[in-house]
Parts: sequence; structure tokens; C-alpha cells
Amino acid sequence: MHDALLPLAHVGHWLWALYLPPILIVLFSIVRTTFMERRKKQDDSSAGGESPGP
Amino acid sequence: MSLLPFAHALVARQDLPVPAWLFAWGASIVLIVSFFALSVGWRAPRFEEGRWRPLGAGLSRVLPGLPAQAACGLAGVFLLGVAIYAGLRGTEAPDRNFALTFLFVTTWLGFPLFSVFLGDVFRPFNPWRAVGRVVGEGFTALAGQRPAHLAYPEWLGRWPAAIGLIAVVWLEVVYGASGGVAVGLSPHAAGVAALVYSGYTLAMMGLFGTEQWCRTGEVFSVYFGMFGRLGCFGVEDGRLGVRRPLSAATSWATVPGSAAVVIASIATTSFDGAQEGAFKGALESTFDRFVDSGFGLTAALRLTDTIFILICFAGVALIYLMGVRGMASVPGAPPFRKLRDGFAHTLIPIAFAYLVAHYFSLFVFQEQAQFTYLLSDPLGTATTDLFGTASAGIDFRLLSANAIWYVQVGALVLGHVIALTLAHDRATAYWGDYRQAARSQYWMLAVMVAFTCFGMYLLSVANA
Repeated sequence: MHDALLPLAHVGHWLWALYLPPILIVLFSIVRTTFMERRKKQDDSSAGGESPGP
Repeated sequence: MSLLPFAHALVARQDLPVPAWLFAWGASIVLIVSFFALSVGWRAPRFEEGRWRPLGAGLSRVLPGLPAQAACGLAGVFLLGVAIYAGLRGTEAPDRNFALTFLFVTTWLGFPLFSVFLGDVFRPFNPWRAVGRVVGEGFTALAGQRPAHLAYPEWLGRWPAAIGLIAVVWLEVVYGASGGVAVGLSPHAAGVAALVYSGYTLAMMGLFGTEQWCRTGEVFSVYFGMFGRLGCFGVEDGRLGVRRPLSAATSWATVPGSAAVVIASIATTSFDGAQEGAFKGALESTFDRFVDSGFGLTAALRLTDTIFILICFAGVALIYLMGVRGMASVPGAPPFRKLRDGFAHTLIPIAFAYLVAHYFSLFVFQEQAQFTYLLSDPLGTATTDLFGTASAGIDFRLLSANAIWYVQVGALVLGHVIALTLAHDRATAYWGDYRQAARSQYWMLAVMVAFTCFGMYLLSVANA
């Protein structure tokens, strides 16, 4: 009978990845906020640039 | 051969309630919550003015006065002399010789600890400053005029201290390594290094002036003085006074090269922490490559460690500069160079937190040796028992592995929250509008979270 083994022998080498999510979450939030602000600025400037009409 | 427990002192296993990586997540949440609290509640700079006020009339003049300075200076010169003598003439067993523990634990780790709370306490005890001042005064008395010095190049700033800081740590953790086993520095090498450094420092003081060199080039003055900026005591116009804690840090990084000093501090501590854990595999493979290329074992090991120290310096600098670059993109930002220098002081609490996190247990255990058998038998030759404590030992049960871990985590979290506070305070001064200031600090939040998680990872691997 063959035992089915999970390849966990080297899982310890990847423990560092568990320390990444907080950094990635903060970076993702910064990038998202930056893009949202830029879009809002563009929308504001395009709305302000339209002529109000006669 | 008996070894100093320089590698974080303790190898006992921890019994933590949750995995170590969850502590990093928790610490990040604390930082993020602190960031939002600062964004809402901290709307004007509070640290830009120190609000220094003198202590009681007698105390404020007596403590910085000449008799007290002379006594402290003499004590500093005497202790340096004992350390050099013990290094040169004492036993080669590093844990029995006064020199190594005194220079690399009591002094190197003790002064930052006291400076953080009390201010620049090394300045009066600085042996080289004491000698420089005596020689300067002697020259003035004999020649009838003040000694003439070269003008110190302004662009050089604190760069000599930054390079010297890396050199000191290199001497401790790289030079002493040989044959694939880190044995630490030999007491004799430490004694010779202290002599060489004394000659170099006195020569530089002769060239540029004692006070000028202590401000910018003397490694220990600059390094300990940096931590002293966090403390609440300071001397102004020859009088000792009290100031708002952390406030003196805001004016520390005005000299070129200051950012390099604090980055070097974080980088060297990181390297020392990572070499037994996080970097172990990479260090071994690089070492093997150098050996395969024909280098001797010692040369290959030193070369490998040197490269990784420099990589650590570049990595820490890169993370900080990326944060500064991000801040520079926020509308209303000052020029990049002003931001780079203007926020460098915010890394000082991180440098201290890294020191505590990595060396706390070493300090607690080795100081037991320092104040018992090393004090009674400085040469370690079992021929003296000055205070009757030569046969004492270190009680390694004083701290449990869990207690050490919680101190390490607490230091990292508190250090980064203080760093975040300093950065937010400086941002409110630079941007004026607190909303824009908070916006600029998104990037510093990323820097702080990165340093926290990196620090926790180093500790978890080193303690595993």
C-alpha cells in the first residue's frame, strides 16, 4: 500500500510569505487610493471645463 | 573553546499561543489603527519646539560643570584603559575577558538604552573627548592661543560616523568569524582595535577639533547621541534642562549623512539577526561559491558577510527612499532631498526597537557577567577576585523564552508607533494641512509595516 504524502518537507522555507500580506495590503490600499484620487481629479477638471451654455 | 552567546543569547524554544507570523499581522493592525488615530487627532506639529527649560538652578549648573565633567571623563578614560589592557593581556576566552563584554555589550548596548530615556549620557564619559579637551586646554595654556584646526568639509557631514558604525559591527560579527563557525572577536583583536580607533580618533580631533569631530565623525558620539535625541534631558548654553521627549530628534538629521547613520544602525542589526536564520541559506551558498572560486575559508566567510551587510544597508535605504519618493508625489510636497533628510529622524525609534529586539536577552545575561565575575577578574586569568564575585555565573533562567519574545514584539510595535508619530508630526509641519499630511503618510505607513514585518520575521527565524 502506498502512503499518500503531502510535500511538506520544505514548507518551512516558505514561512516568510506569511509576513508579506500586511505589507501587500497597505501597498494595495495606497495604489488604489492614488488611482481613485487621480480619477476624481480628472472627473472634476473635465466637469469644470465644460461651458455652462447660454 | 567557550563562546560568548552573541547570537541572541538564548536557544530555548518558545511556547507561543499563536504562530509568530500572526504577531506580525497583529503589529501591522496596531500600526494601521495608530495611523488613522494620528490622521484624525494630530492636526498640528508638536515636536518641532522642544520647550526646553532648565532644571533647578543648582542642578542645572553642577551636572554639566567642570568638576563633574572631569570626573566622568576620568572614569571613561580609566574604563577604556582597563578594556584595552584586559584585551591585550587577559585570557583569550571571550566570555572570561572584560574587554569584549564591556566594549560590545555594556557600552555598545547600554548607552543607547540609557540615552533613549536620559539624553546624551555618553558625552561626558567619552574618553577621547576628555583627552582631546585636556590636550586642547594644555596647548592653549602653553602656546597662549587656541589650537588651529582645519575647516571640516560640510558635505562630509556624518558620513565618517556612518562608515565607522558599519566598521564596528563588521569587526564584531564578520572579522571574528572564521572557518565557517562564528566565534566572535578575540579579546586581543578587540584590544588592538580599540587602540587603533583611539589613535585615529585623537588624530581626527587634532585635525578638525574635538567638538567638531564628536558632532560628526566620532562613531560612538554620533551613534549614542542619535539615541540621546529621543530623551528628555539636554544641555543648552552649559545648563542642563528638561525638554519634551522626542522633540530634539526633529533637528538631528540636519547634517549630511545623518540618514546613512540611522540606516546603517538598522541594517547592521538586521544583518546580525538574519545571519543565523533568514540569510543562512543564501550566506552558505554564496560562501560555497567563493570557496569553489579558490578563496580560503576565512576570506570567503568574511567576503560573504561583508557583501550581505552591504546588501542589508542598500535594502534598508531602498525601503526608506521608496517611502520618501512616495511622499514626494503628494501635492504640496517639499523637494525630495528635503523630505529625505527631514524624515530620517523618524527611523531612530526603529533603530532602537531593532536593538532591543535583537539584543535584549544578550544584554540581560551578559550584564550579569559584567557586574560579577568580569568586574572581579577583568583579565579572566583566575588570579584576582577584586569584589569577591569572581566565581559567580549567569542565571539563564532569569528570562523565559516567551518573556524574551514578548519584549521583542513589544519593542518593535512601540518603536514603530513612535516612528509613525514622529513622521506624522513632521508631515503636519511640512504640509500645513493635516489632511494632506495624513495623505503623505500612507507611504511612511507602508515603510513602518514593512520594517515591522521584516523585524518579526528575523526574530521568528532566529528563535526557531
